[in-house]
Amino acid sequence: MNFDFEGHPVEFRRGDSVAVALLRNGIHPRGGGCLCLEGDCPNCLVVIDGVAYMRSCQVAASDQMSVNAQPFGEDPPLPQSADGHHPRHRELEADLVVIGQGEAGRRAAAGAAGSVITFEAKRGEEVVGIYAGPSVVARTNNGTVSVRCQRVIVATGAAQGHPPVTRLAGVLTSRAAATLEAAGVDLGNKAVVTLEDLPVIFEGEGRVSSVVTVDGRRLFCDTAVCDFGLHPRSALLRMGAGLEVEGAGDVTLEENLPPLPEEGVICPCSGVSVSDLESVWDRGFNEMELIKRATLAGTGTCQGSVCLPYLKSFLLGKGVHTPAPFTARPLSRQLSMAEAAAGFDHTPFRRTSLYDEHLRLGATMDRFGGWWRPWRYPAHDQEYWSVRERVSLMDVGTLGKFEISGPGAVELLERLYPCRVANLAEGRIRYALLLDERGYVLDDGLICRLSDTRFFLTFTSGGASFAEMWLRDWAESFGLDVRILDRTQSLGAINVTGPLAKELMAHAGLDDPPRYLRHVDAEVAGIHCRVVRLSFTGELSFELHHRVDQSVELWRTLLELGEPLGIYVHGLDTLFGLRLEKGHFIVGMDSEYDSTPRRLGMEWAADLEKGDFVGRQALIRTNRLPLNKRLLGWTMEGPPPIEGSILFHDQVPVGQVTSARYSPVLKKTVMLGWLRGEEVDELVCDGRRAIHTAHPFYDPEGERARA
Amino acid sequence: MLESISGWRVVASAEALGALTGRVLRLAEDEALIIGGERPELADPDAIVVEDSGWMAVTLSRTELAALLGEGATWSLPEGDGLVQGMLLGVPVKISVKGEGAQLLVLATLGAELSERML
Repeated sequence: MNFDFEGHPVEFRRGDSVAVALLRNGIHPRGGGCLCLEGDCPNCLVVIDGVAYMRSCQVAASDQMSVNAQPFGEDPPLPQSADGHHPRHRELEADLVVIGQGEAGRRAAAGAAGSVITFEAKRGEEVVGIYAGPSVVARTNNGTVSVRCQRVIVATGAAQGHPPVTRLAGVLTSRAAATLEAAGVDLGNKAVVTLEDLPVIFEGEGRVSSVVTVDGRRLFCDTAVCDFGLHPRSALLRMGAGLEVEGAGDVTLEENLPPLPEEGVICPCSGVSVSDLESVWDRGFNEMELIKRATLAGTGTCQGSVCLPYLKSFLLGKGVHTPAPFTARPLSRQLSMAEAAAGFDHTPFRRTSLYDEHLRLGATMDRFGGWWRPWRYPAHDQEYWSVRERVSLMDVGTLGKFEISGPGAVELLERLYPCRVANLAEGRIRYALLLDERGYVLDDGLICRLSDTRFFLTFTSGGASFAEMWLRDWAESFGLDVRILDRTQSLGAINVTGPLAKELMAHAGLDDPPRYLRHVDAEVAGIHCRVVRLSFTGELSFELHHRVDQSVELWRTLLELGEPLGIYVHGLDTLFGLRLEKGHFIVGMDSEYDSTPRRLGMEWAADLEKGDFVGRQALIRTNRLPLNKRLLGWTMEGPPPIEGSILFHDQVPVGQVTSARYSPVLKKTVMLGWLRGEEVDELVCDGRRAIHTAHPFYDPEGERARA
Repeated sequence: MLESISGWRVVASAEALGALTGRVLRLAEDEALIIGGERPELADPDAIVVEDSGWMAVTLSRTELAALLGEGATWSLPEGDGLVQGMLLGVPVKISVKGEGAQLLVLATLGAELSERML
């Protein structure tokens, strides 16, 4: 039986750990360093099957295993693929969890009433954390486990003390030496050193050849065996402080601290030396927690198992009488990313009915508002100019789409929207904000009247699920007789936009399309659509709402019919620039948590005379207060600053940019940004002049959209 | 294995929905999904009835579905017939159980995602 180590076969025997097999073959897993073979130190770490930070003493050797050294002082390579690493996660319950199955752990488990689950590191079951509950999380050979329980007994025993850091091979704790001898590994001539011999100096080249003790004795050897006393493996016990967690056995031992050496490295994980400790002490880091933060001692792989006794000795030497160990927090052991993600399913992002069409056109997809959306297409420059000069399509099937009917429909919408609804004629559209009780903007969209008691509503892509809750909750609160149906997932929508959009509609059989802010139900390219005339891009636009199973046919037909017109498609990146030229804000991107219509410069969207609606009382109150922040339009020469850039006035920050794009048609950068305090005409942003400019920046009269 | 299905989505008074016949999945007190068939007639003048092709579905045996839920859900099938819903592999699904068969439904917008996760 053999596995691969650095490209060479390594023979192993049944029952060998990877570390034992390597040592039997004369290979130190990391080239050198004192080994404990009990999972306490970082000196046997290897990369196994692409997963780094594996303690080779805790992993059973097996055929087909690929093992690589994990060098000191270098980050291990990241796995190139997650293939084959899909650990499972199990949720269990028990009355008692016992961690550690040495003598004390076995006794605790045997004497317990009720259901008991035990973990033992030697069986490949490493507990990595204890959380409130208590809840115990472990990694095992079969994936991760989380156990909710009434009580936890920590019986993890005690670790043997390590010598100060040496990079020589052939240095072992006495338990490691016993393990190797039991496995038939020849250790040669041994020199045993104890706590009384400290500090010791290991001598040799690559492998230890002699040990010099504190009294000057030089012991020649092939293997140095260290018996430096026991230190409780108390990390899990400390982690469970305040919970139903108790210790049993050696984990509660009083420890004998080793003397601090005059020099050398005491923390193998972070390479912290005695002089580092002195240095941070002199700078005022005079507590265990502060020394840990300043030096990173105790934050590495072994979580202080090697260095903590020396840190305590250091503090004792400085007059700190009872140096407490540092706080223990999960995770106490390394987890692979796959293990950390086991049992977790990330939130799915929805795909429109045109998802595959976007891929077919070579789009770069991105996640936005809970959906996968095309960000850019290959001919990116053409995306913009096809909208401004010809005709273009965009998949807007992600918009929130609702149908509402019933005798209470008008009253519900009048009470929810700050604009008038009752006077909206059948076939007409009104843009509307949606406010909360404080008058802050929650969302925006369209109200389309279908009949006396029926409406079609749209919301932003990210706002649809909230909108349904909002509509239903208020309908119930007001006791109104309405029916509400979320059609977001069952209706596709394609926006046809550009100065030649009307020609394309005619090619598709719609010779008499609706006028601006009107809608009709009509056949477009043989497909029944609700044709909604409005504009977000600033150009003549028609939104075609249709059944999702007909999206692909409609999309392909329009592209084909539009070919003589120079049609192309556009993604979100281009749309954000187009709408910014028109000064249209995007909820959540330009608006803030406390954005009122007044602060957004949209007082026209809230009719305070029409009667009560959600947010009206707050608007009446806040409209009497000084306007202390407002969203304004800005222009500047050169490339756009990073969105979020600070706006300065007389070197004082007075606001920030929310959206910024270079406008190809205006040949300057256009921006929206919040200004706090007095209105000013000029600010500094990104080291350049930003001029307050009324928006819309492009076609301010809206003639192109109404064409 | 998921396939597109179409039917009728209906929002109406509870009484009107209660009178519906055919393959009616009652999604809520005021809402139902009718798989296939002709446009339903309802005794509610304000009912919203729309053709709905926004779903994907697969029919499996009760045993197959129970195994699927055992792997990817923290809930299980009801003992009798009925409609249950919850997360399967992090994706919201509805399952209509009848006898030894069951139909799993998922929104078409999430169908591909669920298929990929089930592989």
